[in-house]
Amino acid sequence: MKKKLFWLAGFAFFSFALMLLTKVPALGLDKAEFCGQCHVMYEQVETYLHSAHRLGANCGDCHIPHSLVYGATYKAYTGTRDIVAVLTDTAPKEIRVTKLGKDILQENCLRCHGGLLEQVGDTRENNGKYCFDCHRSTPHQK
Amino acid sequence: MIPNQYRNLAIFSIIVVIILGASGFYFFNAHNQDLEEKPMGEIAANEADPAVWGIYYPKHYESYLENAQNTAKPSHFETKPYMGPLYAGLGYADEFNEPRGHLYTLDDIREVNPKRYKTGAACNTCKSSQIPEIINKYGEDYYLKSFEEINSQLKHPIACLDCHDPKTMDLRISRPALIEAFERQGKDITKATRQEMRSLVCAQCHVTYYFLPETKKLTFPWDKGIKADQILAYFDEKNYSEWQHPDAGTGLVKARHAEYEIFMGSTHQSAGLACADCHMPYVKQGNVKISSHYWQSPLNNIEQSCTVCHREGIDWLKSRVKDTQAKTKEIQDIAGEAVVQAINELKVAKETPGVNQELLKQAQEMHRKGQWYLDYVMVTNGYGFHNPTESINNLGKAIDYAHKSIKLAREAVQKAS
Repeated sequence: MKKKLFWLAGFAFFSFALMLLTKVPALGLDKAEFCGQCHVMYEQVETYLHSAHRLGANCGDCHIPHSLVYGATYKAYTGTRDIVAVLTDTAPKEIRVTKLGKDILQENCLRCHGGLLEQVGDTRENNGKYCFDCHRSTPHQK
Repeated sequence: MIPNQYRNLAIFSIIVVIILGASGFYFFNAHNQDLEEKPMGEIAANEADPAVWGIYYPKHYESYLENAQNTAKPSHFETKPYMGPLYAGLGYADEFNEPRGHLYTLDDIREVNPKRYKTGAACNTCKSSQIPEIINKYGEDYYLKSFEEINSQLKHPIACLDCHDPKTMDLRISRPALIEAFERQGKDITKATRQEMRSLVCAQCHVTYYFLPETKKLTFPWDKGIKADQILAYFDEKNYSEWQHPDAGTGLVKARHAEYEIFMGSTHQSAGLACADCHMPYVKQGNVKISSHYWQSPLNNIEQSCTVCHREGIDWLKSRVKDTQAKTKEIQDIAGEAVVQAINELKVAKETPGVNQELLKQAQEMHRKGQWYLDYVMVTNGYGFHNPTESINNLGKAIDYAHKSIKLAREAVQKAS
């Protein structure tokens, strides 16, 4: 029993460490080349590769929370969900960002552009608009 | 307690942990501070002078001062000659110029013919940022004062205090008429969201209004709703006429720049936009973005106002707007001529001895409706662009009512006893 628990704990720790690894930049799991492998993302990837953001940000910089543990957890969740959708051919024709995804995006907009917006503030507050409600083709088409 | 050989190691470990903890805390704090500019001080609660606000918010003040460039005030009669006959009996028939914007509100109103000042103090309500304090001082008596008594106290035009809370810089509603209009509709304006407020601060003035007959209190006729037919129904129910047309003999109501009303429900508004999104676009000044406080036609800065969302190119966007405006103007001209013709027919009918009074009265009712729907569109800025379908819809009604009025007036003459 004790041995089983030990192995179980070891496996959980190992999985968690593996999950954290997905945030290691060298692995390139945030890059458009990786995310765009699935044909459902072609349109977004192609238009992103023609945008100015390609020089300074990859998919994960905007779509994944910045912090290591939360970011890796979120990435594992959405990654698994997307793989299942692609494998079972249930990916939507028109990909829409979730409410949680929107908030993550907005945080990441402000993470880089916060200085620019120090006078304006977070436009999302009190039922406001997200940055990308207006900048709707930045950095890629919907 | 701790064996001797481990004591030094333990002490060393504790020191390392403390140093690591302290430096971690220091670096985390040093690198995770929210970027924000702390306010430099406090602006007095009733500070009406924009120059004082400008000390604290120089970039916004600079863009506010750009409004001084707006010096043209063309007469409406140049492009809409039918306006004169429509407004016969009102001051508007003598002179009706486009105003020069927020910086010139006091200069412009002081230039109009003084005989129009008899309307009273309420005309000052949207001309100065000192008005909220003056209304506080006089209460309801404010509206009964003479124009000159209030106007002589005014130094500053429309400015910061009209829309901003000096303490928090949040948007605020300073004019009682809007708050009360919301209350009468059973709505609480303090519950408005950020995006709604970005239109509602404009709706303090850029709306249609009238003065209550007895108290002269400035009131928004919104109890039944804010659309042209709902406002007309409100006036009809009260049996209210602002003036009687001297030629047609019709009791009429006057629409005023119903910009907020017509914008509500439009394509842009239902997509979640507010007035400020197009008229106060975010502009870069140095390394920060601010909301432009230079209020003008978005066509003058399409790169900032339109192309953020619409990536189709400036020329194409401009041509789409111009197309809407030209078509609205075309149908508005037709409606204007039709209502003038109705006035002429009513004049003939009214002067015909023994004219059929019943039919004449019906013709005048049609004239009242037709002129209202026309006026609601005609005096609203933007030539229909704020809501193209609704503008054309109202103008269609105006033409129909004008034709009905013409027909009834002619019948009234034919059936003269």
